[in-house]
Amino acid sequence: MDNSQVFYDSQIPVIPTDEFEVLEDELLPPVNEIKRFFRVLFSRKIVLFAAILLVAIIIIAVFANAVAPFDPYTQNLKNVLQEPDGTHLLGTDALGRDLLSRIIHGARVALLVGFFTVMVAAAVGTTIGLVAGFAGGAIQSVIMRITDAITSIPNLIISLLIVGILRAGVTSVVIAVAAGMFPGYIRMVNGQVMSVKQNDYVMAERAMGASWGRIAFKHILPNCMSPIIVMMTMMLGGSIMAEAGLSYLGIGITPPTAAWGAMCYDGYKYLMTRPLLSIAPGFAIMLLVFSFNMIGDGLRDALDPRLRGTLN
Amino acid sequence: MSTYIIRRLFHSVIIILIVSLIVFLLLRALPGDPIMMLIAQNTNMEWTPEMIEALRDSKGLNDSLPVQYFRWFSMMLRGDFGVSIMHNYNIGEQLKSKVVVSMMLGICSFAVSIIVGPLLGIISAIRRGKFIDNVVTIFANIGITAPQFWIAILLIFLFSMRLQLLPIYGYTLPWVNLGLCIRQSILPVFVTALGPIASTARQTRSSVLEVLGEDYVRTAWAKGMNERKVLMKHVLKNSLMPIVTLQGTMLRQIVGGSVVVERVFVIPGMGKFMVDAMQGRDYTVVQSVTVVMTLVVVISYLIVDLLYGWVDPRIQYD
Repeated sequence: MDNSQVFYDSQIPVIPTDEFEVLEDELLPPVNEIKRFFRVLFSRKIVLFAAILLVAIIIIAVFANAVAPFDPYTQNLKNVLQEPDGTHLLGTDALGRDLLSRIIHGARVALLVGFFTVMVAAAVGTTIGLVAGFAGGAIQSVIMRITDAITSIPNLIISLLIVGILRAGVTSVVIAVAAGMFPGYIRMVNGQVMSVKQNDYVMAERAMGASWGRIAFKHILPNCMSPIIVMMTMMLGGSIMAEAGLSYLGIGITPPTAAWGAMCYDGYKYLMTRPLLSIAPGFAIMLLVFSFNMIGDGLRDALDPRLRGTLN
Repeated sequence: MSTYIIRRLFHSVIIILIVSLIVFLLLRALPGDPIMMLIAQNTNMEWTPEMIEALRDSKGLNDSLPVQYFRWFSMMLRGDFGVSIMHNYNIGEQLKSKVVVSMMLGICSFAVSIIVGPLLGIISAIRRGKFIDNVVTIFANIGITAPQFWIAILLIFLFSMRLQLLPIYGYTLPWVNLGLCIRQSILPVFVTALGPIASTARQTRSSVLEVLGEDYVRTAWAKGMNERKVLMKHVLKNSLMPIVTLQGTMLRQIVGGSVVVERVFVIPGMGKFMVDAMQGRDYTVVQSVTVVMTLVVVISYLIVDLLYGWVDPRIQYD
């Protein structure tokens, strides 16, 4: 009794500062959302690797003119189908153009097509999805049935039809590939609208006289943001593959533009003697698609709302 | 159940109608007049405007769009796909032989993917983190990220050119020459099936892992059930649902992939037919092939939806 009293009255025992900090940390975990996001995103090494790879590809694509050792379009008919050597690291193609330079410039085309395709698909799909979800009733059924119909046609076939109408070229490839992808956004956004619409806070907003536009921007879109971002990253890979497929078939981006798919097709004729001509551009496609898919995987984990506000 | 099937069938018919309408309208928006292209090919004849008009009339291109659409669709319902504008052959007959070739390859690819995919997924889930799991994961990543034509080129280079084991291109029907057919099918089937195998394996792995963590699986282990029985009776059955769901999309991928694969391996199937017709601006052929391809996809979606009830008896159709 006496002892405890003494202890109580005496000075508060000195807690070592480092221990104290640990204690405080555990009691009030200040979760920095941005830090947590990056920690989860890069928790898998492969995602970090993919991110570095992607940044490298983007830098190479942006500074293609400086990075590429030769001009990708200058033909040199005296120097065709060269084997790889010191000057032409991957050799030259059938028109004497440096393969490495063409692959480097091809990164530009692939990234541009991928980026714009995804933007177009996301913008169109989200808008239609919002309209369908809000309108409900007959309008919604009609939109969703048409969406079902479009998703029943294989993607590549839709793109083929659209490229046929618009004629080959970068812009038409963007629209064509986007036409195969936008139904995904319609479905997702429509589903989100349907579920968010049920919430009490949306009812309350409506009761207070808020317009549907306000609800769309304040409640629905923030709710859709993370699945949209994940979907966009995943579709970047998909759209780059689709563009390569179209270009390989000779109806996407046409020569002389350095598109990886078309390069594979051109090189295929010399597969026996110069396998690199068709294999190297294909490998570039795979690297880029791989990095987008991995980052998409990581983003899905990092943006998972169930993990929000937690550590680890 | 029967009302559900009827409703679902009705839904499928509507989808086919919408697709045919979309395709029909898209193709009418194509630049380039097929009649003009036809005339450009036959330069040895002297064409007067009246003759061009008569030709256009005979092909039915002067009628209004709704009339053209309904004529085409009602003919198709009777199994008549009409005549190619450009080459004057009967599309239905051409299509029949192409469909057979594509179906052979597609069914083989689907069979391979539906057997190998889940198997790989289960193996890698059970041996999680072990060597085999890593191998399967890398394989699945390649299958998902590598373009089909590139895989095809690699395999042709390796097996047909360097090792000279398999033919580079072509297709022979099995009842014509079975040995050659098998040798010619190996590469295209593998390339077509690779993507679906990879997706199915990944899906199976994650859903098996999820089921492995369930209480009833632990109970099964605890009461001393042997490994095979636990896996087959409890784990596999309960993780089937997402795998079945995926198969409709996989079939769609196989149908779409046939376009590229048939082109690389020079296989006279629907995909190659479609691309050739597209480049020749042969309306009627393109719209018919698209509708046939969509029909395959719609039927497979229908089968998948009906399979749900069998796989998961909890689902009530009403």
